[in-house]
Amino acid sequence: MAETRRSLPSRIWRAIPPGIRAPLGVVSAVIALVWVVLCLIGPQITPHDPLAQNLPLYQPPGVDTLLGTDELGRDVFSRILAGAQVTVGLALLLVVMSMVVGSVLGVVAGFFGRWVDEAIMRFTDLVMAFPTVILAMVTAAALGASLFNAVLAALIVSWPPYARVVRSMVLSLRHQEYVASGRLLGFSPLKSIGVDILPNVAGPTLVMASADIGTAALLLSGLSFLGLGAKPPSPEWGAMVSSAVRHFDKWWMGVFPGLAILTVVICFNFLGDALRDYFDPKGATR
Amino acid sequence: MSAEPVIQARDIVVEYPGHPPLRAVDGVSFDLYPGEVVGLVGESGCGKSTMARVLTGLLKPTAGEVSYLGQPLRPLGIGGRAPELTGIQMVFQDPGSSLNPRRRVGKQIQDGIDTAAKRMACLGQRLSRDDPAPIDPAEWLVRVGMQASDVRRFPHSLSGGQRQRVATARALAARPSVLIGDEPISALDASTQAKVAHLMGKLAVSQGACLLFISHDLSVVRLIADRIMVMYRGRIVERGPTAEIWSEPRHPYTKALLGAIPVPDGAGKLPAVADPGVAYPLEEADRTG
Ligand SMILES: Nc1ncnc2c1ncn2[C@@H]1O[C@H](COP(=O)(O)OP(=O)(O)O)[C@@H](O)[C@H]1O
Ligand SMILES: [Mg+2]
Repeated sequence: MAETRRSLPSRIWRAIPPGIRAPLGVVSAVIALVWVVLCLIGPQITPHDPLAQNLPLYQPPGVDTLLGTDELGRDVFSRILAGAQVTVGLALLLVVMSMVVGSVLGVVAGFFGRWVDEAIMRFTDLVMAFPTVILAMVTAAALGASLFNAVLAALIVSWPPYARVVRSMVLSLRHQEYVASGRLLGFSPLKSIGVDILPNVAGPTLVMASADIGTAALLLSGLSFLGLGAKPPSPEWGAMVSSAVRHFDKWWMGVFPGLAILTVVICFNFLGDALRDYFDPKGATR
Repeated sequence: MSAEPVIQARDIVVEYPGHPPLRAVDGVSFDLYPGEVVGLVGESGCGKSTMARVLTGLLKPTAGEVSYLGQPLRPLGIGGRAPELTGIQMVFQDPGSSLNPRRRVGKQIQDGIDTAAKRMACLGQRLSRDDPAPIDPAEWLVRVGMQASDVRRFPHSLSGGQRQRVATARALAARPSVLIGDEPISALDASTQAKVAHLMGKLAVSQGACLLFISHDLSVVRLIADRIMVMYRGRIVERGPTAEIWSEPRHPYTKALLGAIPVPDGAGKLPAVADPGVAYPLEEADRTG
């Protein structure tokens, strides 16, 4: 995920004139928020049952079925609403878990240094070398293809960037004079980390995480698209696109879930970039 | 000076790895006694900060030994520092990083008070309101010349001088027996420098602590120091009572340092740097005669 840090959305962001970045960031934040809210209440507000196969097949977008129906007579709009919980919800879960695992290891490596650092960073490099999709295939083969296993496989490869970034921040913080002052005052390592290190690492790490949510959603959808994640009849967006591929002329079946993925990817990435600019105005022009 | 020394440094050598290794401190010995203000002066890069870090235990010397209250000082490792050793405190150079940007000033001073409480608990004693040192962050702020209401402020809203005052309060709140100021005033403007230096000296001595005041600027150090040690290329090349060093320097390097200070009042703003092209002798000047 984060190895594609200067990802396409980020490069687009950098091409946008600085004057309209802030409003664009706000719009992205609003759309991202809508998706997060839908991820909580989406399944409750669907106009039709997202799993029921009781509508005419291949209905184009219309009044009753806003975004059309699919090959089994299910309402695409309802499925997208319900699918937010799967795609965005699991992306959030994945990012939070990656952030926690990576931050813990990064803080420990950076703070204690020496062989602890050496060992953790070697391990991080090793894991980072795994190709995500291959790993997901291996996991699917070993544990069975399911969305949970896809999240597990994604987690294995997505914590290392957090460990690296957090470690380097801790390394530079460790030499701050107030950290040395704290140690001289008798702070235990735990207190030093909790009081002097973590609060100063949290901001940039959360920014990094928010930009990662979109990429995580894309990864999980991608795995589902390949049949390594969500399985029918789950309204996972990637799986929806995947089944739509066989019905190319019925464009609405694939285009709308694809657009949902696109907005999630772009909005969370832009949100992350906007937050980064906001917290570090000097870096905005880089 | 009849009391036991707080700190004894014996033949301290520090080498930083490199090709060849860099000898930042080259056989330095001195004693620090309770209640005195000692100035350590020398130009930038002569090894003052390295020496300070050795005295606090933040850095393990390549050779030599530091004793604190008669016991060998254990350098700070991965674990926390033992309460008995929290009587060594330091105020650092950079006002921009001497305080945690995310914590209120009052909290950070409270850390110092907690440290004192912990150490005294180890000795079976307790902090009390009647102690000469305050046990309330607000009182500490007043003592260092700030407002009691500043406890709620964050460091970014303070000036450099105010931050160094807070850092001083935090260090002294821990009731150290030795306070080391590593160029605590160098980043401040000239009018604030003398004020903060005087404050540090006065407060440390009133608590019976020793203040080791490090600076490259002899003209400020002489305002507060009882005695002065002049450091050059990792060695102490001259030491003695402030007035004597000031009026009658014997080492050529000390003379050069003094020569760099504009006469007659010697209070102007200046970088006291001796001629870098000249190699001065590394032997300590003899002041016994
Ligand atoms: N961590 C370090 N690694 C390598 N060299 C260092 C380090 N810290 C200081 N030095 C070098 O040691 C010498 C003394 O530095 P320092 O103690 O900071 O001097 P001062 O405080 O008097 O300016 C300098 O030449 C400096 O470049
Ligand atoms: Mg220095």
